[in-house]
Amino acid sequence: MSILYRLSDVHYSYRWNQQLISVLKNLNFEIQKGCFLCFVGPSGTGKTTLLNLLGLIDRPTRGEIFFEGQSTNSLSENVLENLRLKKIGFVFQSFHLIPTLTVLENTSYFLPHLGVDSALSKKQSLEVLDLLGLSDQAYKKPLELSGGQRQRVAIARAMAKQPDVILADEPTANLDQETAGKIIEAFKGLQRSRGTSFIFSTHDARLMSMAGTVHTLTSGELDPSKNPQETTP
Amino acid sequence: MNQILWLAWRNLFRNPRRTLASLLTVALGACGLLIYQGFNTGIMNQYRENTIHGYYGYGWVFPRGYYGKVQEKPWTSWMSSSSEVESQLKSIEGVREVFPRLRFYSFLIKGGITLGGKGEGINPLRESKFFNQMNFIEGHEIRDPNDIIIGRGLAESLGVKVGDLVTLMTQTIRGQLNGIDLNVAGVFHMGIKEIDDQFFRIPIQTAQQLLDTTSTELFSIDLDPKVSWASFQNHLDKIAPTLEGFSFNVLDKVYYQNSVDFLEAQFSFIRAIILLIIALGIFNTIAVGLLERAGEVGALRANGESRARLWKIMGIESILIGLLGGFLGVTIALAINKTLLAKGIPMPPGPGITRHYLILLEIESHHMVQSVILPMVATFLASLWPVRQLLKKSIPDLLRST
Repeated sequence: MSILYRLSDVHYSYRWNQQLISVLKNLNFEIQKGCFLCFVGPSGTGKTTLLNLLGLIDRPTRGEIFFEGQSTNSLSENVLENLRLKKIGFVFQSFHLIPTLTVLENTSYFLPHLGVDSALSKKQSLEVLDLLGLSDQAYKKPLELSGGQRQRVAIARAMAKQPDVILADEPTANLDQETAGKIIEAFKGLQRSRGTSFIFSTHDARLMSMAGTVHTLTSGELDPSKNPQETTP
Repeated sequence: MNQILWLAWRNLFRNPRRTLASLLTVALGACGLLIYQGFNTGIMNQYRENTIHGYYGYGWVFPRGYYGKVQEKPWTSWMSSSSEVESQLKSIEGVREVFPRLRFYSFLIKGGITLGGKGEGINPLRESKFFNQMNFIEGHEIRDPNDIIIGRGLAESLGVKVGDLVTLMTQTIRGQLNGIDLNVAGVFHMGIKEIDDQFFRIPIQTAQQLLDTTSTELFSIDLDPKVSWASFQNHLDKIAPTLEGFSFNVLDKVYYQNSVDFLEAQFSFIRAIILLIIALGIFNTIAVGLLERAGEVGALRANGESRARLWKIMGIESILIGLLGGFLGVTIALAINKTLLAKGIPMPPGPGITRHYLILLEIESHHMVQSVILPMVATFLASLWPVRQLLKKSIPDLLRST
């Protein structure tokens, strides 16, 4: 398997009331393509910050992140935007869908931007919605859907771009067990069928149990006593 | 671009109440702008009509070098071949009628009262058809060579009424005293105080007889409104280089042109205030609306949406609100003009004017275009700062905003 990410001595800190707050420290690890990986740990240990760094929406204050073998430190904002558009899908706990667009329109949002024509865009989006069990909801607005359905639409939007990796920040946190289970199944299905890499931050034991690798973060560092835990989903 | 326009359009329906509030803010501004502009144009056109059809016509033609200079012996410059000049003037494209005039100073004597006044010899038959802003308080136009009509202020000072005899006493161009008894046919007011307080009019032949001359001092011109004064002047320069013309706004600079300049300056200031009110009114609504979208914008940017595209979408959104609000405002203004203000707005006399006015809103097509475009620009400008503030935030900050 080839390497998707390589983190080399990554630190992240910020200033607050003239104090330097260190969020992430000494991160040195690699993530393989096609992974199904979880970052776990108590709240405030830097899981979301780490996902932000992996999603190229923030930069480390020290160290270097390599994405598909390329150092991302010196890349311009435009290049990062382009990488995010083509290679990375991001899913958030709060969905962040566009309420004025239908499920189908939300799903296909980025496709015209990627040069996909409208017929293919619709076809591609409907396929993803079908995969996530949402094809019968395609013409509804997000506000007409349940929380679980909305989360699946957010995943569909990220998936429709056919990215190399999907990053999801606590994707099941707001969902009931049954819905969370369906979403995890959908992730696994996509990983198997398309080879998409999945990286999560989560507290969800079920998601952890399904993950191929679980990294535990403690006070911004990977806990050496627990990392990495290889599971057998 | 189509997708950007489509997304911007759909975003208008995100919060219909807020969009409606924004539309109404812009619409009321656009409506106010158009009504005020129509009102202003109505006033200016009233002034213009009053100036043209009250006294000046579209302009006057003098012997070259005569107007604006103090003349020791003005009659030496007067036009002796009046009928020839008249024919030349009438041959110019757009000239519909010419009105020969001869101005002079004279004493008016009634009983024991003697007052100085400014007299004008005119062609009453021609003038009465065109100069329809002259209002007769009593009596009528000049119908007889021995008739005189007198301005209201002058008539009151002399204490004359219709049917009285008034004696005019002046010098001929040769310096001899000459007098004539004339019958007061009418008392007029033109709405211009300076004229109403000093002027009287008699037939031009009677004036020429009184001054012992056959010359004409000037010709007032009735010009087809489609023909500009500049075009008339060009023709005049070619066919009669010894003459020169002055348009009514130059002749009546004190009342007409200054009033127009004053009203335009006032309108520009009020327009700026209206646009500022639109911008401030809509700024808060836009800022709140954008703040609520921070998380959504963060998620889109995290997935590769560019700042530039979001700028375009949000910019077009505000342009659409401005445009739709502008159209709505223009529609409301037109409806008000056809209903509530259909009978005009009664106005007191303006500076130097003695008459009341009824101002009708005069809404022209370019006013409507302006009333759509300017509020749209104001709305767009009002959105720039909140959009910039939103889009300059980092993606993690945007995502944390929710």
